[in-house]
Amino acid sequence: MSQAPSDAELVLRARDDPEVFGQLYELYVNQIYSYVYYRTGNHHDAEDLTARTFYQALRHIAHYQERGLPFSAWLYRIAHNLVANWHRDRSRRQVIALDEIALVSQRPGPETRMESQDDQRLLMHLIRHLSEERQHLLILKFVEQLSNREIADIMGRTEGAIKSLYHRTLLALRDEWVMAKEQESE
Amino acid sequence: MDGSTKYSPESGEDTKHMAEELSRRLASRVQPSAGFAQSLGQEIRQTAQQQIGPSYAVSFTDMVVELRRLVRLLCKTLAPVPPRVEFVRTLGSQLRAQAADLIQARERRWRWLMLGGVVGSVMSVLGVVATVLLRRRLNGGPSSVGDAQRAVPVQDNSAEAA
Repeated sequence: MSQAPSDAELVLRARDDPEVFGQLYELYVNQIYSYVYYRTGNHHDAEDLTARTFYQALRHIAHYQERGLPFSAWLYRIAHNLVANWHRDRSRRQVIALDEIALVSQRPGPETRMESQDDQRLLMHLIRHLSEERQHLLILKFVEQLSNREIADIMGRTEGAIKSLYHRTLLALRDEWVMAKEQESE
Repeated sequence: MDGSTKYSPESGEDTKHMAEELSRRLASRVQPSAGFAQSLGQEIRQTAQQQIGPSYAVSFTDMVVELRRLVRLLCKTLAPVPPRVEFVRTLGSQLRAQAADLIQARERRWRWLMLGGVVGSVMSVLGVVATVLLRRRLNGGPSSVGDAQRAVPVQDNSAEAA
């Protein structure tokens, strides 16, 4: 049985074969879209930035050099830079979009679902007010389910630094959560 | 964290949008792998250990429970969101077309470069030959083998012998 080609092989072949670039695109489009969606908060901008990410990747793939990092790390970096520019270009940040997202509860009982959806909305609201770096980390960890090693590659940090950042983020979120819940009950 | 913004669960709800979003996200929900869940569990304990000091009001067990709830909620909240099928298909075909154009343009550029190189090489060789010939002419020297033979005077050896 023949093994599926590695990313490095696909990248090499994609330089001369549009179909292979198409394969790479199909492999990563969902991940990049999810990432951009959570960073922008709406589907319209997520589609626009996802398309720009892949167009940029296409233009620069001839210069891509494999340095032991996964190809996805390169794509995430392009997406990250585009999202950062997008935030910079917007004169007024609209925070509403992600807070309005309908959120999923795994238990469909009406009461628990309502409670869980409110909790998820609150949590999303708190996440949106974290620093960009912390949002980036949480999205890579929970949406993309990447390991600390992979996140470190993408964010250009050491694995230890990512672990420490994650611990601090979790504790900050927990504190904000407790405060928000106390405010709610008052 | 910006404490000035107030959270309101009722703000700007669009029922239709919510229903669509809900069905999209339910369809896309990916269960976390066992390894991912295990690593989250370990990290929760590490985080709790970091936070709990002797003077802290919350016990280690309570902290673990709280963090576990928070992480579970994070897993639920930050579910992968797939793009529209139509968007994926359209962008895919546009990218393939653009990739083909780029590759063709590169090949064309490469061909012109090769042609330019060959023409340049031929021109430079011709230039050298032309220069050599011109110099010889200007110096009055022989410009061909025939000229060279004619230019050398034939010695009459028989008269010398007599």
